[in-house]
Amino acid sequence: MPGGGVARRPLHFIIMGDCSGSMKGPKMQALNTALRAMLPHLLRWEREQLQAQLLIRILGFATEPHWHVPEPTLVTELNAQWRDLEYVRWGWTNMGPAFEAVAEVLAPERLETRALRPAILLVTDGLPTDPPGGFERGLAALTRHAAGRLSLRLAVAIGRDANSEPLDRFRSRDAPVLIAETIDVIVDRLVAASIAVSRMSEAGADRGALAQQLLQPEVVPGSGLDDDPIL
Amino acid sequence: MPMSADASGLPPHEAQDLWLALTASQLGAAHQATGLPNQDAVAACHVQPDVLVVAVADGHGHRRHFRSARGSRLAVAVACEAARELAARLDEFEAARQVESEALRHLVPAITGRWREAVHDDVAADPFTAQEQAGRVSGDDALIAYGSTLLLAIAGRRWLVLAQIGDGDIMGIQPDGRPLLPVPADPSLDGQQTTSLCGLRAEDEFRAAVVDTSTTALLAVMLATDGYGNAQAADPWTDAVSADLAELINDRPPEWLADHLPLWASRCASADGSADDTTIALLIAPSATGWRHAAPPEPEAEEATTSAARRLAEPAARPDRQPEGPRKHRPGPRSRRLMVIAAVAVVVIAAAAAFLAVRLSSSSTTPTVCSTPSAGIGEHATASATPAVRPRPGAAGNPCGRG
Repeated sequence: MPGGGVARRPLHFIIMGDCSGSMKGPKMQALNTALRAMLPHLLRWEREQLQAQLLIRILGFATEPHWHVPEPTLVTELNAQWRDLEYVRWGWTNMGPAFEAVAEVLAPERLETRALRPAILLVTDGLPTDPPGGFERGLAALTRHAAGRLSLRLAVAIGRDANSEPLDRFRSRDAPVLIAETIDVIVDRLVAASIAVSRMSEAGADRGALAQQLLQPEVVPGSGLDDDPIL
Repeated sequence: MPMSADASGLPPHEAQDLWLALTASQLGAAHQATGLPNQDAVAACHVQPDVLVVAVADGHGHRRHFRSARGSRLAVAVACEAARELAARLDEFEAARQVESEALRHLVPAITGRWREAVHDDVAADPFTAQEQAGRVSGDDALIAYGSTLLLAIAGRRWLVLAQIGDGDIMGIQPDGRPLLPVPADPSLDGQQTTSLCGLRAEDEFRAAVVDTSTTALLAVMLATDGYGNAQAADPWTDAVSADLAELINDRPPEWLADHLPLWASRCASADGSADDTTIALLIAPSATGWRHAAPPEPEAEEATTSAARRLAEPAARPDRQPEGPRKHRPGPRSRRLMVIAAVAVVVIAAAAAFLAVRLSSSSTTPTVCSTPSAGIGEHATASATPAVRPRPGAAGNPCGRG
């Protein structure tokens, strides 16, 4: 084969986990349980579909972001080498720097030209605590380049209070903010999110219809068909 | 897996100064799994005795473009037809800029206009079914259902005219193996969306380039739908692919390339690659084909002699064929040529020595005449060539079409 061979198209899935002080205890435990529960679903989807190779990174964020899984990692490898996220004592919920960290790895020089539209899942239990302008600066950095701008961005809000206007600004047009009102439903929400991420990432997917089918209908923004680009 | 391949354009050996076109198109694994057809199309034809036109199109995969397989077939057909006028006048132009201007001012509008007409004719002849109507978005023009990209090459003696709308790749292969990417990049192609013949501003979204092959030497030009580039493990891939293709074009006969092109398309379209429909058109320049009359007999199919050929031995061979074996300690084509040349030189020297000896002993003896090895090669190439699409009487009136 001229050029050295073929490979599936990479699908980068970045999970942003809230590790602020308020996540201490059962919330952090539930988040880790839920993240691990996502993996078998992602693995099954990866085996069933024909187009993408799923590569996962995990970013923990509090006052500062830190890459918990810094390199794009296969689901099987992540499952085998799993390490729990840990909360940061007195840590704040600064989302702006976390968005900037994600923007950095999605920059054109860092991302394969043939990569599929990346997916970003933000899980948080609170409002952003960025200094003035920090959230906006981070979000602008994330959406500066095509990969970030076109990424599928979902958010899971732990606790009804966590669903906020900033999360609504973070999500992509074709994805909702999922609400886990109690710790018990975090697993369900993250599994739903993982299925949505995978199915909505397939080429030619009707993302609006899938969002309505897979996620909470009441929070899905309008039908996706009118928004569909030429694919 | 359904596959179409066409070694079109393998001309007889007397047509050595013509461009050759090799094409292959493969249904993507993802489309096969969902029962969708191959939405790519390709057409290659000589519109003038010495001008080859090749068009490649990729019908959009989204269900909003539910007749895109038809749209791509119409696109390559109208592109070949529209190219005739410019092809007939190519020799009139003195500068590349003039040709490019002509392509953008006349060829592109002719293509878009005829494609729209062809789509409307198709809808009139075969109206949307109730099911198709239900899938249409309110306000969508009928053109949307037929959305397709288009890549076009018009290859004449001097000018190589290239035009493109939408994604996919047009790559020139230079004699030193470096890629030439003359068509300007389109920043709006972000990997998720593409410009399209069905777009409102299709004329403006075409990109074009003209290469003066008298000053910029090319071995070949490759046109490919994005199923090819999206399958390449190397990133960026053009350097590696161009270098390998240059080596193969230099070392292998067109029959060998025609035989392997479908395998490459097949690998790209498989679930190990992009899983997308993949179409490749390889136009081999006249300057790259002189060896057809000078090379020794071709190596056996299983003989891998270059690094590029070794990579071809990866597990993509057709099930009904034996995979290529590892590199053997047998002389490669170049080594063979050297050996043949050396042998001929020895014979010539020996003959000259004998001639001189005879002349010295008797002035009435005629000299030995040594034939060159090229005659045998010409026979071999002609005998093994696959059916040709070549200039023939009445060819100008023939439709271009395969898709």
